[in-house]
Amino acid sequence: MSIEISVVPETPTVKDGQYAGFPSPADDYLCRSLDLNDRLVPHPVSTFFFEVKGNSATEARIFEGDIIVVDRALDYRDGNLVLAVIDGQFAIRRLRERDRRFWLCSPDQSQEDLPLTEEYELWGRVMWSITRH
Amino acid sequence: MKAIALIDANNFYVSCERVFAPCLRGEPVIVLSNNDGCVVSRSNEAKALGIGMAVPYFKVREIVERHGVRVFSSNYELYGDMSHRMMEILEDSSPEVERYSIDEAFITLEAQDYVSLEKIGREVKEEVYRQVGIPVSVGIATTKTLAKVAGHYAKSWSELDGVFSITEPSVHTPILKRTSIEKVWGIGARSAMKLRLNGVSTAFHLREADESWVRSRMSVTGLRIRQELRGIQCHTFATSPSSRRGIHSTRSFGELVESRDDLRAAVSMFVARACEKLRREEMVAGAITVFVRTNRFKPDERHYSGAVTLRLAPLTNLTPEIQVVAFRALDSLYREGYRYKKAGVMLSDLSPEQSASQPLWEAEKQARMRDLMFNVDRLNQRFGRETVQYGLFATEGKWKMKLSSRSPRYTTKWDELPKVCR
Repeated sequence: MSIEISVVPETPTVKDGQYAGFPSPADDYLCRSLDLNDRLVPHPVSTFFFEVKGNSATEARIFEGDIIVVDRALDYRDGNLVLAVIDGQFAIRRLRERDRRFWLCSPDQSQEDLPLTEEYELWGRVMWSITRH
Repeated sequence: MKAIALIDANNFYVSCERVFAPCLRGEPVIVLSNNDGCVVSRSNEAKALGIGMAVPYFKVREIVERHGVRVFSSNYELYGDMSHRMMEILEDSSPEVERYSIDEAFITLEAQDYVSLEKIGREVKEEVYRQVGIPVSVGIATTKTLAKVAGHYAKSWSELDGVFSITEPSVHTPILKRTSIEKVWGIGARSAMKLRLNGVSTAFHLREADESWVRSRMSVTGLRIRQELRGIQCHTFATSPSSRRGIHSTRSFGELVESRDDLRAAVSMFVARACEKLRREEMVAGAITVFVRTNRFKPDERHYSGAVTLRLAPLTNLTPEIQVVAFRALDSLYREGYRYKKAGVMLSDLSPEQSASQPLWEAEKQARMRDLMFNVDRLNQRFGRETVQYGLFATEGKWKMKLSSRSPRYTTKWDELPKVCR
């Protein structure tokens, strides 16, 4: 997949006739058609797409057939939705910090919370999910 | 101080498979070449079972079946894409990156002192793993040949944890003393034998050997290697020994390139140069990766980088055939309105010319082509590069590939995405 990213940190917007954000030296930014890649894939090199099977993550608003956008390059924090590796399989989990430890929690509470040890891997952060209607 | 680092992915093809199939970690896994002929990548567990490199599959089938070794056909679309991601991370870490083969690159490092060099090397290794999931080894030294030596130890001595710098003189000499001459970059088996007969059995011996003696026995190639072992940089693209894992031809443009035609002309030349090298090595390629990138460090310009890997079927080293495929790749990569800073091609999935199996009707056509190539190469050698140039060439006929047990093209095909079920 060839992906383009914009170097300009923010797309200037017009608010009451005033521009918010950085003025761009290259005026064509303002007129360029919107590209979903700019919004969903800020780090193409570390971003991967996965297809979701099953409905175990519906509590996190992720459904069977969705595509999730997973970024490996970001830091992890309490509350993040992550793609984890559990027993050699990919799984979507919510990262929670409790009693100064991190836990992998299944969105629908169907699985036991797992303490984040070396046994489990944080593969990447689930940044977006794409649902077809 | 400045140094050169060799970044070399560990068991690259197997590592790519493991990124998307974590259940393969810790397991014996092998990847076979394009024609399912030979083993081209092995996990450490597979190595431990006695499966050697470049052996034909039928020779290891018994071990595979007895130990349940996982076997994959080469997935060059995946490997090319993962390689490009890895190279992009390196481009962000260093001002100079030479994409040497599909899984190796030389980069320049700059630091205050020896200790910092190794620290930077470790940071690069960690960054590649974090972003792409590929484990690499880093060898650091003052020349490419020495970096290759360092890389060898970085990879095989587990206590080094993947990073080894031999820039420090106290480390330098003892390491060269224990590096056998066969392991030196650019010394083939025959040269090694000749050298051993003359008492040169280690890298240290070659480094210390008399200059005129080396020149007379090994010509300018050997002299280059000796100089590099002494810390004097000599290798350019044209003189670098080829990697069996890929032959590259890339360039950073002095003046940014914007038009499709100019980029096409550049890619056409890259293919011609890479094929020349390929033919000289008497190899054929099964895949080509074309990449382009703009200059990321220009703040007022849009940045874009992309790569496309396409298979070459049948396997070939004929410039016109590969150029057609390269143009197809470029057409899908090219974006209007960008100013390109760097572009290149990488030929991978290499195998020796003779062993490439193909249908008889192809053999005749290839024989005619080969005669043409031979004469073209000779003319170019005598009268200068590009004396004879190629026009576009249409290939006829299709060759069905044996694509048994190839993993999904996880990162280049929408209907082959990795799945998450839990």
